[in-house]
Amino acid sequence: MRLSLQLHPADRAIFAILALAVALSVVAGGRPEVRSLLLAHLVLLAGYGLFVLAAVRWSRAGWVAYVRPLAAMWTIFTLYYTAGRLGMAAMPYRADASLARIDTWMFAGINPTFFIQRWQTPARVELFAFFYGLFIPYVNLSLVLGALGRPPLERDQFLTGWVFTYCISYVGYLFLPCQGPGGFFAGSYSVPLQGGFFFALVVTAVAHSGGLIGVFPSLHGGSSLYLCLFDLKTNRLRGLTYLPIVVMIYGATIFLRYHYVIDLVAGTIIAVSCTHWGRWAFLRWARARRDAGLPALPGGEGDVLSDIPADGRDYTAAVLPAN
Amino acid sequence: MPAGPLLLVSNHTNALVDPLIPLIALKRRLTLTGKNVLNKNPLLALLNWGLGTIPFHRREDIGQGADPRQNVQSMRRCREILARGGAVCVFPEGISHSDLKMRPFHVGASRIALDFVHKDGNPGNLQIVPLGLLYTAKGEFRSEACVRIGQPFDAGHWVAAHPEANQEELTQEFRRRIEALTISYENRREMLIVNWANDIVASEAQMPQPLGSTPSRTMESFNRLARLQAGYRTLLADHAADIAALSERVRRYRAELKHRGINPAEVFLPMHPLRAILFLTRELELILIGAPLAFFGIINHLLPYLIVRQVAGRLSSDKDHWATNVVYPSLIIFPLFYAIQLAVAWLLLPVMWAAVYTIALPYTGYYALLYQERVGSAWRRARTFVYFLFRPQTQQWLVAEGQEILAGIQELAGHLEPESAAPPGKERP
Repeated sequence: MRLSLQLHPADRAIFAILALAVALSVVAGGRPEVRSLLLAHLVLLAGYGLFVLAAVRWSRAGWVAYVRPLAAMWTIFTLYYTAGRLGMAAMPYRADASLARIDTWMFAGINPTFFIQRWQTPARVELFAFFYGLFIPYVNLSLVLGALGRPPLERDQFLTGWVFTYCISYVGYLFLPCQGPGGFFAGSYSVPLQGGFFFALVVTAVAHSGGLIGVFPSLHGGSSLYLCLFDLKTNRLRGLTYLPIVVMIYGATIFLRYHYVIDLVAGTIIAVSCTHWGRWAFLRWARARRDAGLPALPGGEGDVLSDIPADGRDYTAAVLPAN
Repeated sequence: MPAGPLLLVSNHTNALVDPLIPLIALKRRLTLTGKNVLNKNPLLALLNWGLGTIPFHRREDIGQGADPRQNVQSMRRCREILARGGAVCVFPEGISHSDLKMRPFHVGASRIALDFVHKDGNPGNLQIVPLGLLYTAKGEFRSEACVRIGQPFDAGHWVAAHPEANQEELTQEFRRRIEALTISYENRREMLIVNWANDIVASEAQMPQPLGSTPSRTMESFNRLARLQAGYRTLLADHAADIAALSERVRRYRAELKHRGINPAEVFLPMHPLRAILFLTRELELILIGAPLAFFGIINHLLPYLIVRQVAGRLSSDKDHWATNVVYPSLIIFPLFYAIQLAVAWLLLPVMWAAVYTIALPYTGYYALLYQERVGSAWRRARTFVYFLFRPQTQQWLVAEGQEILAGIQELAGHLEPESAAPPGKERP
């Protein structure tokens, strides 16, 4: 059986980014931190590889459909920390200066991170910190509900696009390491950020997730936008519920000095592209499997798919029972 | 839609909403036709003037200002538009209704077509496209509409193939083609049985989809309904006893569900505790997080909504005109309320908050509609779950009965030729 028919597109993307991280660690090896990250990525690669082997071996078992999203989520979230750290450790340069210049160019000579200082009162900082913090429960709840609650065909399209969004963004983390405006311009601000409980919570959470790493492109923007766009197509009320929150998360990343505007632009482009590309890649793969006589969806589902849409309109074609 | 001169002929069941559907759905500029007495209403007269609607005078309106002699002029205007390569939409029934089948057709549309071919020389080659307009529940707010677009046919070719044909025969051709796109019923019994059976078949005896994630299946439902009806009619001749027995079973099943307030699709609700927890998490998340948006939307739209409802209630003497009496007053009342609210907001609020209010007003209005529907669906599903939780045997019986009815329908369908029930035409939801 062809390997491409066995490997889920989301798995392929995860393998690709892990392989890239391993290769970068090998090329840039020498420093102790890079060596430890090489080990971490090799362990991740081996662990995910074992899962995929098991998923292929028991491809008709029901657990595969539920364990894949969980395994993918765990690996992707671990990579958030390791890829960001690896980029900072392996690369001899920082991209901050270039990104800041692009921001200044986009706003006709005004750097937005300084321009907005006049509005950075403690109350507003607290408000935006609240929305910035909402990102974590929003992403996790969306992923769990998406993995468990969506119809099978829709669930795998959702997962594929989401994994693509992160994997593409991690390429930026690896090759364009930066700290964000808060770190890069630390001594240049005239207004220090001050807030209350939520701001302190955000600062602590950022410190615990590796500090100021993983800036370009913005996954706070890209990931939340991807989730929102997918919901707008498949569960409009949920998409509309979170759209204002996503807008506030976008604002918060700038307001709290974690991202440049160009990070958000890049995150947006990635999210929008992956909304289409993820489902295209997954449906193409499912059709190829069906045509080869395999279950169209791993996990024993979709032995007979009534319809795998060809033109990209229907996200939720029904799955008929195998018998 | 073909390019060049185009005559659209359609059924007519939802008054002034019907012309809106092709106007919105078809990617061509359309000239509408309508009865002249509509122009007695100054607002409709203004709208008709704006849309360039061509008035037709019906004989039944003679006492109310209609002058059928003026139809000559109206037909000439239609032909002039066609000669310029335009598209004209005609409703040959001439009246909106809720009958089980289409009413007799007037010959005006076929006269326009024949005169265009014979007298005007058929410049640009006139194409005729039959339309079938279908509504899920035209008397209900937020029900759905579909337009089924039939195969275009060439007026010149038709005339060449039927050299002796007159306007009555072309009218009958229109009727046949539109009938194939709509769903007409012989009697009320047929309508009820076929629709009930459609609900049962739609459930597929499978667990219902998660709320909110189900895409619109309206066109699929109409297609299935058409197939069921075709099968029902075909089998009535040779399998009358089987059809009667199954119909009675469907009727009793439906009555049981109605008595218990259960939707046919939710008979197959899984009673697994983990699924129940997932359902509760999904629904409570939305209900709680969306409540402020929905509340804002309801507060800001309640008054115009109630006014429109009052107006529609007072103006509507039958369900054919209810949607019309909702849609058209809404076009005035809602913008008026928006204008008042936004004027106040821009006068009293800082610019940024006024801008937020301007965006939030339509956003939350739409949100409140979806939210209300979702809360209603979640409540009904939760109620059904609790009902089955305490009456598992009832669910078992309903599941078994639903599956047996579905098997019975499939068994009867086995007697049919595969193509006999296929609905013709190209559809667009």
